[in-house]
Amino acid sequence: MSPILYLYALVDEEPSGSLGEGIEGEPLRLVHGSGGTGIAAVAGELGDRPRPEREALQRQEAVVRRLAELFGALLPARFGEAFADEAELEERISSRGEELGASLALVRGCVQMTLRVFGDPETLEAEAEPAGGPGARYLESRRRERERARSLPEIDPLREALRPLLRAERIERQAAGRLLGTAYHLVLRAQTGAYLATLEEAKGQIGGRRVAASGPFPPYAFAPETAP
Amino acid sequence: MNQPEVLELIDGSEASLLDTVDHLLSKGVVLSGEVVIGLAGIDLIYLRLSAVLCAADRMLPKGEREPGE
Repeated sequence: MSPILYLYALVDEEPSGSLGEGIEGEPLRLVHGSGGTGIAAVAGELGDRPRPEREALQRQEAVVRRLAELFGALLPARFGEAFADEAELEERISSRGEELGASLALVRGCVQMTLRVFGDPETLEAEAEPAGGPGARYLESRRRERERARSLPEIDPLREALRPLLRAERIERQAAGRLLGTAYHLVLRAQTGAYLATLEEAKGQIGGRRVAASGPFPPYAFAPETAP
Repeated sequence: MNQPEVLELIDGSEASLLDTVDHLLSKGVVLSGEVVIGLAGIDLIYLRLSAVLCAADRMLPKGEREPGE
């Protein structure tokens, strides 16, 4: 079986220190994309793709966390992302250079904070039936569903208080259960203290619901899904 | 930093398994597998597969997703 090039992250600068080792102790190296994009991959050679088991996941998280300390901007890769060789990886980086460059610019200097919100959902006010023909009504109902899936009105006062500290936000609402949803916040690394202090001050404004915060993390929620 | 009462602030070096799974698997996972199709005990076809497993909404065209997703 031929070895594979296993992808950990994408970056656009030289590291401030040694890249060290990957999840199986393999040495890590930078693979630069062609075409002058300036984007490079941090990768290591493995015998095969790792299986998604607890130890492998935790080792990869630890590797990415360490790498994030070496770069001003880093996009973590999806678990199991691998390439046959450097040429294939270079081609994939180059083909998405513009999108990856924009994502790296967004996360530069930032960390991810994660807020999980527990409690009772807000009672929805009855919305008027969409107007128009069957097609228009269907599209409008789909739009409303998608909008709701990306909103957490239960913590709007908290989000308002945090807004000046956020470079970006992503929300995923849960369909059912006590976990109402998760808010992913991109915050300047130097402002995580202010973020937590603001959170503490505003925690009483969400109607008895509970918020569990974790972080800081590398910006997993703000990396393109199919990186590269 | 004092740990606020309402927050379960997890230290950066001890990310919970929940966060680890959320980080690494929520966007799908790339798996490899091997399939051998045989007949009457004779191997006829060998397939080596790589697949991305993820939620359907992750595969929407970029224009239909939020920025950063």
